[in-house]
Amino acid sequence: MKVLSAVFRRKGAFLAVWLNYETGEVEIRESPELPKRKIAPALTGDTSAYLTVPQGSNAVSLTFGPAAGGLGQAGAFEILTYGERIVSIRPIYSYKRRRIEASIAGRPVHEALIPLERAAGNFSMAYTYAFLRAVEKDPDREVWEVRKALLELERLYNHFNAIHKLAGAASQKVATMRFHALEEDVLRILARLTGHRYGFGANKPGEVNLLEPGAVERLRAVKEEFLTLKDELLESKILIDRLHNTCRLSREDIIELDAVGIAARGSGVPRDVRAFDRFYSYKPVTCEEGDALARMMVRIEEIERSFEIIEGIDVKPVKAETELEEGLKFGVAEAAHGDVLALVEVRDGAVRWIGLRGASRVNYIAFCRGITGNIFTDFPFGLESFGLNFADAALWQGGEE
Amino acid sequence: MWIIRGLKKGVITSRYPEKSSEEELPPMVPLSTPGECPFGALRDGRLDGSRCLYCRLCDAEFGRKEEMALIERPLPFRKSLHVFFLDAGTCHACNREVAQLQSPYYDIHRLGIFFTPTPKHADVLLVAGCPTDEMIPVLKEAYEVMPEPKRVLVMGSCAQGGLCGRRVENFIPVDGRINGCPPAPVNIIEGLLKTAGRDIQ
Repeated sequence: MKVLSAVFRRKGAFLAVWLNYETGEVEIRESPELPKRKIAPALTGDTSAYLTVPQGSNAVSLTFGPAAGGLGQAGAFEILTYGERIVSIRPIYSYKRRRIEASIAGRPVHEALIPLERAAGNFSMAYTYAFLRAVEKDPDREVWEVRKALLELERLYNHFNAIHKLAGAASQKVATMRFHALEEDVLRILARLTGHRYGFGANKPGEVNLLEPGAVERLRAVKEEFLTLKDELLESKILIDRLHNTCRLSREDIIELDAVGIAARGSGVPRDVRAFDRFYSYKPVTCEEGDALARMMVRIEEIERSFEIIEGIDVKPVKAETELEEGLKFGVAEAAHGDVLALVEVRDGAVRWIGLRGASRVNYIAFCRGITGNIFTDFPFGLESFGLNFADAALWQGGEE
Repeated sequence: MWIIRGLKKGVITSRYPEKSSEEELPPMVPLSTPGECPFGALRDGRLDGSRCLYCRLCDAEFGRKEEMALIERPLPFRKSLHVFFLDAGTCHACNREVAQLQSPYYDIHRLGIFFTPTPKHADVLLVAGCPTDEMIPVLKEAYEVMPEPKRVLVMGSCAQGGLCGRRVENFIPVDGRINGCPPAPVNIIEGLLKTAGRDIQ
């Protein structure tokens, strides 16, 4: 089934990107009107339509964010409530609109990667993966195998971060600290491998620049520790009870909202770019329940898969002769929270136009659907189970606004 | 069982600022001035570390560097510090590094540094990111409501005009800077300790 993955504004029209997650087939349709899908307004950054006032409701509106209140990032939620229950809610993306695409356009491809990595720092390997999938002609398998290893390392530290936050929300102090330490362990491995804690500067056209490839061996100890912590975590009834039935999304919700990544897979919908990526041989992990617990279970299983993938790759500096594509090209990668995609126009070796869409743009809307009807104390459990951030959600969508 | 696991793990906390390990320091910092910079970090023929994106596209020599913070106006007391973190428009990497300060590896509480949920209780406003249109009023308001004596510490290249051209100091007075993209947790600790007027040696 085709999913409306992105809508970009370009030259006075809408460019709609439809992606088939079974075949990987992508279709780009240009139209003067916004596609008729529930997610379409959010894809252009307008979330006002998602706040609905039930008839006869005496609920009041409050804004959570953008500075104080615990979000810790420049973003906000407008919440309709009558005291305890969340009646309706929408995310507000505009606080973090940095127009990062304007910093990318006009630069040669190798230079364009630098601001691109800073589109969403904790998903930088995924963004560069998607971008290079779009612009590299005849990609070299050896190069892409190493890029895949870096992408899986990024998934590991983001999944550890999400579990750390979920355990923290349930006041599981030892668990939250241990998973936070595991995140730092992976960041230190990335720093040794690439010279940067978030891997900035590693992925280049036709090349992966690694400093100390042997550092990947240290993942063995991280894996051993994770496996023991996992068993303990799943025995914690306090945590499991808080996640069970919280922020539930049905399969129908996912399909209606074109949700992706962990949100989709936690509701039994196997949307995972790795299933059709030519450099992967991967069957998506799914869980049927659709609640915060299901999303955590998907992450736990995916962490084990990521370790296996990295173990199967000869991680070393690689370089190959690569030509660049010209014209409007599309690339997509499965980041830790969901897929990120890049629609890039390259001419004479430089980026002329770029549209980026992070999974957070879509999945914040799914979170809002799931948390509606829950009470305020469920909020952190619901939110952290998605692993989203506003930098990723507020990307400009490349064009006039 | 969690407690037993915690005890078995032992102490993993950094000894910084007494001693820093290679693991904790940012691995690739420019140690010389390059011939040119595609992102405009050269000023009068010298590398402006505050604007450097640490992208390694230039011909500078790179390596580990311990001190990355420059404090112009420390606080007049050398006691504990309460910090309010404000994201003015980051890529989220700075947020993650600030969050790591409370992890067992860095544990800034051991140094008497605490985060507050509101600027009204803060001695230091720690700002990261390129100030966006909608965050500029928020940034100004956060500064206004802080009690005296107060200090503003900016962290990362974006907050200093490195990527977007906008600098936090265009909107509120700045008393110190931490370089990096993003700055490593030990460098954020360095900046906070120096802001508190405490010796990092």
